[in-house]
Amino acid sequence: MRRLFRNRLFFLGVLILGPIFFAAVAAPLLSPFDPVQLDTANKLSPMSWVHPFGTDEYGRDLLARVLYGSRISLRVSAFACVLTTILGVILGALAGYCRAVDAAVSRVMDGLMNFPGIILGIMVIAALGQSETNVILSMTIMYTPRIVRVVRASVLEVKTFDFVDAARVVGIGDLRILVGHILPHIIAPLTVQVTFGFAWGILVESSLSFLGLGTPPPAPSWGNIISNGREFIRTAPWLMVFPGLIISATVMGLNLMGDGLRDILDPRLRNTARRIGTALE
Amino acid sequence: MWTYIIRRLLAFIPTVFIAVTLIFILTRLAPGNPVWALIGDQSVSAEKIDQVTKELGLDRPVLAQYVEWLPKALTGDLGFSLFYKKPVIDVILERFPITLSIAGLSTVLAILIALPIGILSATRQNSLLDNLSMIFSTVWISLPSFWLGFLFILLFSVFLRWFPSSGYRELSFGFGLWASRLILPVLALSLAHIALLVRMTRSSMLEVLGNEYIVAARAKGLKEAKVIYKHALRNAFIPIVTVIGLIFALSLGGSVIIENVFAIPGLGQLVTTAALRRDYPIIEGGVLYLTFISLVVNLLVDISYTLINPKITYE
Repeated sequence: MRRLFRNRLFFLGVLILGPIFFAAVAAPLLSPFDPVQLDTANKLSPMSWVHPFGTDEYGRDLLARVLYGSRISLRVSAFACVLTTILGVILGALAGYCRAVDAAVSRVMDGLMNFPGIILGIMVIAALGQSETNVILSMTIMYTPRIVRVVRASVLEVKTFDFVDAARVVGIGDLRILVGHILPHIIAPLTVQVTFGFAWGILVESSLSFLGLGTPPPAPSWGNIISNGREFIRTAPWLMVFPGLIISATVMGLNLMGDGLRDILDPRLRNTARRIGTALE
Repeated sequence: MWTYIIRRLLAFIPTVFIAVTLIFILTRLAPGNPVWALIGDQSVSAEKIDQVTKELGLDRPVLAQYVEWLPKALTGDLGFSLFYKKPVIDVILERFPITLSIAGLSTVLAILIALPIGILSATRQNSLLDNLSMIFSTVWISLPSFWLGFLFILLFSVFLRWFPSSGYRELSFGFGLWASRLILPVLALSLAHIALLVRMTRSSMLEVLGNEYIVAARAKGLKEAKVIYKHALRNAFIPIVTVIGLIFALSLGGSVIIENVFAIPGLGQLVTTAALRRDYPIIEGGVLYLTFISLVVNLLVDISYTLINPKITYE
């Protein structure tokens, strides 16, 4: 833990993310306004003491919308991360441990990774329909292959270690070797990949919402606030500037944390192609 | 070298096959009857639904549908769009050149800017330029591309009035009109990729520059430029080319978003509109096309490995 906070990148990431997560949790305390409450007398008013971020075309307080929006955006990305991790670990561990499964799993995962960018997500949402759950599902389908890849590679490596042979000689079953002896060794690379996945999820969620395929309005999410604001770019640019700043800060904080974690947990990967996975917006 | 190329070409066939199959499965994930999505919320008679179901062949088993669909999809017969009243392939081919030029130009721009910066920051490690480029790339990589697009519109169209904020003109209207409408989207799309390529070029150059043959080349008195470009860059090039291929694929994917920001009628906008309307033939066709192009680029990148380094063989 002390090593974590001595790492400058990780510390900087925490410094950026701390207030954002706090604001998401404490949203009702920080803003007296309801994010979906209309107030047509005050529409498109610029920044002021009452409305620090201004108001939108229905007079809704933008700060409140960004604060409550952070709950949705962070929640969607977090759920997607959890699902991705569960699926990715199961599939990756099976593929790495058992050759028969490997061929099938790896082919499908490679196939999924071949869809450029957000296209796969768009296709899944078009098929399933638009809802928060389906955004999470589509993000899970998009990101699971990356986790599978990391887990599979680590399992393949750890599998060759002597202690695994020793466990087998003693007569421990395959499942117990996999869960009890191999999986603990992949926690480090997995944590790094999931942190980058969280950052990626924020970008993808906001992009999908921006395209009108993400969290459906009137519920605020960072992406659909920007999407709403686009019409007023000439008259009320604050509508898109503030939510964009928050998205960028969150993604940067998570990326820095991921970099820091990787430097500490997985020093071999230092200086290699970093964050290729997170630049998939 | 030729065996490598031929084996790589053969491996391309199952890749395409899997991609196409995944598209078929994923677009049919929808629970319930896709006919409902097509008809929308209108109240229609049961006979009408049966008729549409039959017309689309949806009354038959999924496997039978697949067997019929696959050869058609592979030969470019992607069906008929109910919204455009045209074969899907025609709609796609009209818009494809636009998306290709955006993705292509932004990849070229990224290479032109990122390669020199990456090489310079590797040769002058920890200099001001190196540190600045590292900080910038950390920031750029975190910006959502659509937001960057809007910031550009705000700065270059609303405040400075240098370029139009949206729309597209064919090249036949004149180069100036065409370029003035493409410059902002291309710039917005390539910036994040520039960051990626700078990092990759830098780290891959640093790795090579640490080798003994570089020390030897310098020791025998070769000019520094020759050491860098002939001895170092050539050997550092494989990971760089990989990232360039990746950047092209990312640009294709990213153009989906950027086209929506700048109201450019390309493939990306086509697919998003189709997703909102649930125009399945267009979604399938558009995704298939974009994926196929990115697979082809991937193939070309792999083949270029052996041209850069003839020692490479198929694993």
